[in-house]
Amino acid sequence: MSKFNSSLGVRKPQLTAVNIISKIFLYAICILVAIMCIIPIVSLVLSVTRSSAEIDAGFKLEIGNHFFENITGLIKHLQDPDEGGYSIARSFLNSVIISVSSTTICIYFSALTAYACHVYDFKGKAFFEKFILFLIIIPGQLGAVGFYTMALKLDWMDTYIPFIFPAIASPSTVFFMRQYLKANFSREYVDAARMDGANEFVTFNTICLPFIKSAIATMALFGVISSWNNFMGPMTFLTKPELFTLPQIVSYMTTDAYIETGPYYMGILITALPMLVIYFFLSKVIMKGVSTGGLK
Amino acid sequence: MFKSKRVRNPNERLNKWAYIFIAPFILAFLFFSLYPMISSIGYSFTNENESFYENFTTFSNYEIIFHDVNFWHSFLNTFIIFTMNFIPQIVAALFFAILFTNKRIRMKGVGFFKFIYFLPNILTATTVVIIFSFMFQRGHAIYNEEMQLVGYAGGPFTELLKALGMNFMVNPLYDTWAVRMVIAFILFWMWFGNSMIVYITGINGISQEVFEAADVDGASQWQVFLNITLPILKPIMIYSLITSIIGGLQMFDIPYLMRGQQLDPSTPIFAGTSSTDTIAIYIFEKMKVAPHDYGIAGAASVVLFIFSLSLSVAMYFVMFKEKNYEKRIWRRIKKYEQI
Repeated sequence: MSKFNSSLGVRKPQLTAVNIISKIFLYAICILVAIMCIIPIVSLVLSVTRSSAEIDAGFKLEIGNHFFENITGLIKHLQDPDEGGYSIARSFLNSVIISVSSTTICIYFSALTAYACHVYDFKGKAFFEKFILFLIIIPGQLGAVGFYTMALKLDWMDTYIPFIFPAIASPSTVFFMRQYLKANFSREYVDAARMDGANEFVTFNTICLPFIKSAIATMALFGVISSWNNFMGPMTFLTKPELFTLPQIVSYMTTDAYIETGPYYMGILITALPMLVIYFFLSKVIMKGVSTGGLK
Repeated sequence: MFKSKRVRNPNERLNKWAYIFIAPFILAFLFFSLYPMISSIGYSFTNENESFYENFTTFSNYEIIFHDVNFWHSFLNTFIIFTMNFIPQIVAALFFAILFTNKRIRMKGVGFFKFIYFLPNILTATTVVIIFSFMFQRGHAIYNEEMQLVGYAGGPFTELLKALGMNFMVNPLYDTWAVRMVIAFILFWMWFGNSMIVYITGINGISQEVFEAADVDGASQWQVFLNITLPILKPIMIYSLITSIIGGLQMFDIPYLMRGQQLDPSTPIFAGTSSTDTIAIYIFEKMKVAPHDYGIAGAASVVLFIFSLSLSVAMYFVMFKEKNYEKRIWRRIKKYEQI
């Protein structure tokens, strides 16, 4: 990084023919892999502007002028009662409702739990913290059958309860928040607030929450992404078309023999676009979250 | 020294607030996680549908799944798809992580490459499946007989495979092994960027002095990789292996949707199981599709759980043991300098 480092240890690369060739080779590999990563997405984005006939004719990277045609085509096709009467706008809204509410609940209660572990000394604290660590490594699949039958008994089918309320207990989010508090949040802030006569709950809401904004932002991003991309959950608990989420609509389209290619692509882009937009603006935050969560 | 004389913190009485703060977490955990887990285990030992099996014993469900060809095939499918995805993934991730952090090569545009390589990870699995099926076949070919025949000549990837001399009967997506390879490739495509970011963090965490010391001693790039980078990254690699296995065992959406892309979803390619059915799909179908065999689904998830948990526990021991690796490397370097 610094001049000091380079002068001390790392030898400067010599510009020999072998070095230049190997460098060109390395860049070529990187660029090829980058093309491999991006080409399916580029083809998706370009294809929604082309007509179904053009897409069916063969793969081409070119922009067409059938964008709005594909949107109306998609909406009309899905609304057709013979097709089940789906609505892409409604599904979009459903996906937003589920991901925003489950993420909000997850963040708030995880922060609350982490705060309790950080600020207070209570009996069983050491055990509780170890227990949360243990919960992280427990695979979630085991509870699937029990949770499904419980949802059936309590009449939670076709409601959003199974997606929202279990988010209260999210061990990995608690762990992340706890690490963040340990590194950044001093108990003195709490003592100062207490001096001013603040209630414990108010202290958490007004002192702690604003303080851990960046941890909240990172975890909120991960929450929204994983909830938006969730497929198995909605497949298990939702059966009514008006409650479907976007991944379910996409899954429905894969078995639909009558949908035209242009509108089909449009449906896929609508599902993928919000995450692409989020990534475009916040890729740094997401990658940082991946790297700090990588060793949890 | 004496408890009674200890100066009590005036805030100590406030500590009881902690119980109120952690109560929602504990209640939600008990209700939404622990109870379903226990009841899953309970289901695995019971028989709800009495007309189905006579002479039911405690372990009947386990006997049934261990004799069920579909269960083993879905286990095998999961294993095959996972292995085909993970080996290239770890190699590629490691290669790019080392390339992008190497101080001698000094790649330009690392930020850009990182941005692009991680991008697929953000996409919804359902959309990825469709995007890829379009890469292999032209248009929306399902159930369209004419399209099924020309589908082979369709997508750019199919053309590429054809150019490389690989021939499939109709379309790669209808071939038992090819469809597994496609799924493995999708998983690779989605996850190598993620692993790469984790490895880059791991490499950046190694103190530069170790590399500099090796450099002063005249170690070659390859020696540095084998003797420093790889051993220090070992715990991270084991961690990523185990989490990938646990995630891989729960693989559901991509194989599930790929099944919809095959010629006929119910084709008995593997004695009743599609070549893409994973263990998660097996559990899902037993649970969700009539006659709703919760006992079988429960038994299968208990087997899966024991398998995953033993791997996790193994990981914890390994990580614990490997904690002080960097210090050991230092010692090794010092020894080398003495000679």
